[in-house]
Amino acid sequence: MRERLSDDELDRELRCVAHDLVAQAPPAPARLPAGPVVDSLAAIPRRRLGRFLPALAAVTVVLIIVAGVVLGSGWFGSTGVDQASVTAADRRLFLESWPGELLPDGSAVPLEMGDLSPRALTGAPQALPGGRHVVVSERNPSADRATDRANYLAVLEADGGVEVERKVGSDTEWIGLLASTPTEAILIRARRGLDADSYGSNPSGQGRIVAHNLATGQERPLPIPVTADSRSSVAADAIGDRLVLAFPTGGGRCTLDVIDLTSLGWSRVAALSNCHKVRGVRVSPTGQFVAVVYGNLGPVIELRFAIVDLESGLIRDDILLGHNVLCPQSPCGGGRQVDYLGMAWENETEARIALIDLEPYDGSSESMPSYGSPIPRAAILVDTRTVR
Amino acid sequence: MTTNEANVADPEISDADIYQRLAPELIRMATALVGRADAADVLSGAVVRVLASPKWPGVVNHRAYLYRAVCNEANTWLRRSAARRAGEARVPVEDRWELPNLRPDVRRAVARLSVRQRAVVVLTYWADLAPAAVAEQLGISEGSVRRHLARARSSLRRVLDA
Repeated sequence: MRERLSDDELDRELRCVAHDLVAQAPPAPARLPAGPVVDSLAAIPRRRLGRFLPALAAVTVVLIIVAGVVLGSGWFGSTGVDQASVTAADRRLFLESWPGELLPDGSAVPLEMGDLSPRALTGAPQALPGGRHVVVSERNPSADRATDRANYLAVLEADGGVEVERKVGSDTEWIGLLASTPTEAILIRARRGLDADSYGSNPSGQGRIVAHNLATGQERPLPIPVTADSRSSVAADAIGDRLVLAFPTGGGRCTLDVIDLTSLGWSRVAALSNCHKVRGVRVSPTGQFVAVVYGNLGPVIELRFAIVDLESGLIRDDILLGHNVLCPQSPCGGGRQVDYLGMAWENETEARIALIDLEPYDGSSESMPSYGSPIPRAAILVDTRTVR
Repeated sequence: MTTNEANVADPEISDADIYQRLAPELIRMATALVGRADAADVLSGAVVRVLASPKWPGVVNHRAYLYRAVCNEANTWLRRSAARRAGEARVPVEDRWELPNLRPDVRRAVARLSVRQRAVVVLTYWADLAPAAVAEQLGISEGSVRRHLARARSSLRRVLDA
């Protein structure tokens, strides 16, 4: 007889059981049973329906299988590589924290920020149609703004012109940019931390997520329960009217949810175990896959990369990018010492991840170039991962 | 998993839209209840029944209604397949699910849970729903949710403590 499990241990076992039970889910049938059959069902008397149902179910299954074969074969181009659907905005790879953009040739260029400070960026810049982008930061310091700690949102034109600059936060409220659609920025709002060490710049307390209309500034709340622990560890990306959002839910687990920005309905797609912080989320151009960069807590902090199939929830790839920790005595198992900068999809099956090599900085992000300073080209590493 | 669905049925949302939005989570629930091989059939059967129901046009909480339909269809499916299996070569019931991370005795214990118990376990531990939300999703009382969960925990504990 083993020692009796504690309730917490039993909860952990049941969590594993629940995740294993759903992990094998096949893709859902692509669409509803064919229209004419369904349309006529409501008109069938219930008694006759009982006799009709087995035959109908058989027809339905055949239709679903045929639909699955047709879709799976790529006849409609829905699952194949569709270069035409990859827009320039999809490919743009912004560098988080060090506001810049990684060009296809591997060089990094500074990002236009208008009158906002590159040193106080909150969240990765987001691409908009027409070569534009949106950022959230504080305004550049000046004598008359010495006490202005509020966050501002700016939309920059392709030529660097400022299309919109608007105050979105306050001295007591921290604003982070999570994602954008062509018309809205998805922001997280949280109370500023009160601890002296953080100079009141870090978020604290329960976060709430809103969709901020870029043209009018009006906001609508999104019903996403971001916990106090996860408000600074959340990442998101939008495609069409869907927002894909990942954040830690406690117990070393991060969840991946899809929110319909129109109906506000949401569903949980997958969960990553041994995940304590989500650094980046990017949805592939057709919306089939999502790439996630996350950190976990082990003997040393690992920075990992996963690709999740949004249709089935299956994790298609999960690799170690490197260690993200000060390793003065090199206890990191010989792996790379890196920090996350940004990522983008090159096409439907290839994702590019930009990392900074921490080796020249003694493995510590503390000694890296200050926020807003240029990163030496040699320190930028670019990994390419292909969906398997 | 919570939802912000309106308090009145929205005629603007088509059945196809509802299906597209909820199918990914419903197929997972179906997989948890009957296994991968039969999940698509169970989901299709549930959807066909739901769309044929005269109550469907007035349903407000589509997610909860479809979850209940999937659970009912899974029950029917398992009863039918149990009768069918009786006349066939015996296939271990736990082989319905691929659970490579679990010990064989735990797999057997999971397979012996009732459909309701498995549904409650999945919604509690996978979807992170509180008992009240699980109750709403499955159309049962909160007390029933707690009972099903307690029985599931007890079954698993017996195996794990052995």
